Amino acid sequence: MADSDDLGGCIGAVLMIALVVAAVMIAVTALMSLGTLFGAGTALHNYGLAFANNVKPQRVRP
Amino acid sequence: MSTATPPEPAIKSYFFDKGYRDLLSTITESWNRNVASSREHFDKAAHLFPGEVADKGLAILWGTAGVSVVVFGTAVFLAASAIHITILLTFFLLIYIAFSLVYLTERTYLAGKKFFTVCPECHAKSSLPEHFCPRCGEVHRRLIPSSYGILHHTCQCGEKLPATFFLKRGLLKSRCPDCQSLLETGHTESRKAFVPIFGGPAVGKSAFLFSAVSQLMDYTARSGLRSSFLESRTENELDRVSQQFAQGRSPEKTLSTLPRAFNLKVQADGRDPRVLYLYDPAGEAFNETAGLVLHRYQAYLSGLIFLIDPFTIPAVCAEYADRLESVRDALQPSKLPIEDALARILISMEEHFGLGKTARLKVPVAVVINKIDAFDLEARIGEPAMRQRVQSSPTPVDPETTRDELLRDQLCRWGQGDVVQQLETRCARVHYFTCSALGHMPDGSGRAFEARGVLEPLLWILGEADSIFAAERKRAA
Repeated sequence: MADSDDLGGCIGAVLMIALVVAAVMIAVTALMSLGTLFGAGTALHNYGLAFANNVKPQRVRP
Repeated sequence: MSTATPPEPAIKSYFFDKGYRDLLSTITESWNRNVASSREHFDKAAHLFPGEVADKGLAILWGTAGVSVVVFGTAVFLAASAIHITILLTFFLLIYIAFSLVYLTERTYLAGKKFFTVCPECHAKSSLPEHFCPRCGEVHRRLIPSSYGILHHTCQCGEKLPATFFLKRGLLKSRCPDCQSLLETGHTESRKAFVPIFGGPAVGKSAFLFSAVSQLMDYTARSGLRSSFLESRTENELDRVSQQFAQGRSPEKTLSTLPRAFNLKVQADGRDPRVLYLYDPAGEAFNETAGLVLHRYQAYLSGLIFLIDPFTIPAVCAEYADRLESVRDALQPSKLPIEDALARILISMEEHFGLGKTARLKVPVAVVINKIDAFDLEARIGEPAMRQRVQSSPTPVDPETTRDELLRDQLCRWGQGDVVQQLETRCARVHYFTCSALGHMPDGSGRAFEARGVLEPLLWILGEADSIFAAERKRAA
């Protein structure tokens, strides 16, 4: 009976650790994704601003 | 010396010019903005890092954000720049293909129609005249489908100009690219026939030209063709000379050895317009081979009229010696021997036209003996003599062949066998004609001049050069 309790506790601990690791990994991945999106978004925003500032149709002489 | 084409006073297509300046400034600004963004994040991280734990956490976050901007921002910047460049190049290529296709189509169409530009003033041939902007008057040297526009060019003043024949570019005011003389639409967008009238001084070239044009206009009216002048200058000139003829006065002597072409536009219903370029160079041009006018327009010759004054022939002068002196002033015999005039034409052809020393001139040559109104020449070699020969022939004969034989024989009898031989050996297509460009000798009586036989040589050459005249000539015959 005691053996099966130990096994159950062990499995529970492993599951808990797995859950924690998974949660950490998810958090890290999410942060990485957010970081990526942040960097990419900033660059895209910057390109858009630069585009809007510089790309203009040709103007004829008044 | 630079040979680069000067820029047009037009706005270049965005994808050929400004697009690349915009691309460069966009890329530069975008990169600078990325650098500034990442620097801002790193500065914040550096500022917060020495603080409490929470500040340190925030500093790490800002630092990570800075790294993210550097790494992923650069990747996105590169991707966005690549897309921008690809779009520009794609449009560049599409526009390049489009204007090349339109240009090639236009060139092929115009070549098929045998349209090209010839300046009536300097006689230079070109594929395209220079066009004026109708609003600001700027000169557009190459108003063709190009990097300035596929179908239209936008002048720097904002006016849209058609850049192709198909959009009626020819209606714009234009000028010769060589001498800057103003051109009419007909000088460019028409089929052309070029007929110079050659001969020594005082053989009657100007009288022949004006009489032939006058009769050609009557002929076209009878044939259901429409004839008109390209320029009022030409019309006024013909009116003035016609009035002189009506009063029995000869036209003034041509002074220019390289005169402006006399243009006449002829059009049949449903057909492209034809523009005749008739040239009447001063006979003095033949006094020196080097100055021979022929070299300016021989490259596109349709045929030539070689006018002969029979009174340059010693045998003719001898035959009429008893009566010649009394009419010498009225007759004004030419002083340049026929063989010299012909030799100078052929030498010029050899020097400037690439005609081999023994090669034959392919264009039709009408040899026209003028001044047959004098004495009894008309009865001897004119149409009455030809008709008599035709009628007296036991077998049916062709009038043209009979006329050729009659005049060839007569020229030989007058000691011009060498001239006939030269003509027959050096010219592939020769016909002989007679005419009286004035109708009678200028006698001061005021009796109107009425030319005879001037139209036939011109019609024969035009018929050889252009199907529209060939059909009319056949119909008339």
